Amino acid sequence: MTSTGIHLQKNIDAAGVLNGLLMLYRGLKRYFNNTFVHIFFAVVAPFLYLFLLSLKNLHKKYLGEIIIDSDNYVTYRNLYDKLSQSIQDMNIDDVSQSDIDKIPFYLRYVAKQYIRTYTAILDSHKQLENALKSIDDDAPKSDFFTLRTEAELWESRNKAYEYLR
Amino acid sequence: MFDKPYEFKYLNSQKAYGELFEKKHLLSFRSHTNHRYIVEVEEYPHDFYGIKYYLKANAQSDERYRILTGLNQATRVIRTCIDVMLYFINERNPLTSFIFIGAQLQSEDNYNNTKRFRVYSRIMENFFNPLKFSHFFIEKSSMYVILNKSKLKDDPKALQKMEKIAVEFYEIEGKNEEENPY
Repeated sequence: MTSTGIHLQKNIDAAGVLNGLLMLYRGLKRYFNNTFVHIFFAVVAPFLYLFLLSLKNLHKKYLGEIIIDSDNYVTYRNLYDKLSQSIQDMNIDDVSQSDIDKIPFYLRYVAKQYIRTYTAILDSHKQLENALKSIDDDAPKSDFFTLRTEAELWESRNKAYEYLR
Repeated sequence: MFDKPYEFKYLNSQKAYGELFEKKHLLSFRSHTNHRYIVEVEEYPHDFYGIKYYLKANAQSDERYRILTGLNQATRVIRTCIDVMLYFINERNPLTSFIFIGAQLQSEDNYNNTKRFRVYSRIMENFFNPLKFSHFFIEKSSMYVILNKSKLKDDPKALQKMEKIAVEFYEIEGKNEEENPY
């Protein structure tokens, strides 16, 4: 897989980790009382911070221009779909920027790092989305023919078939 | 489903006079039931090609493109036509684009979104990569175009030129109120 492909796969994995952390946080909050959860997260916070930082740094390492060609198109398109699904599955309401002041001060740096990592994933997703949209850029305009966009064609096609050309 | 084409043969080509296309290429193949099919590839200006096929037994009928054969071999026949398209792109002209109309069934009374158009559209989206071909359609005329992007580098106005010819010939109206069916 190319470095861009690895980068995108890492994004999907990172989104899964972020989602898992959120579910752990919410689950513990529901099961135990708030004090226990705060103590627990205060202890693991530095490790969590370093882990989130490493996730974000991984993005920087692989981040580059995404060039889609006919050889890598299907791979990138599938990665885009998976990444979109991972992002859609995440609901970060309780650590979103507007609620960050409600989080205890000794956990804020982790929450902020969480948001930075999440934002980096969104940036990669947007970058890939733009690269896919650009496939239609060179399509000529017509007064009579209607263009089927790349997104429409992909959505509609049977993924079991391979492109022949 | 579309993985077993028949082996086809290129027969010949004829110059066309008084037609919209400049040349007609004839190809043929036999099905596993030994029925012979004829494929006609019409060569239009600006590297556009149209493809039609019919059962040889129906060759004398004016309805030959519309008749359902009832032989239950449509998927293999269509896949063979795709191989013919690939043959033209890969071996005869790398700038080849295709334009075709999904002919009416005998039970359909107009050309609006015919059953064949719907089937062929699905096939085109499955087999022709949008990185190499832009896909266009006119639903009211059941017309579909896969435009070779290599041709666009050579002639950015190729679609408009073909459009002008097709619109005049088929008396197509503008797409103002057409809705995207996909």
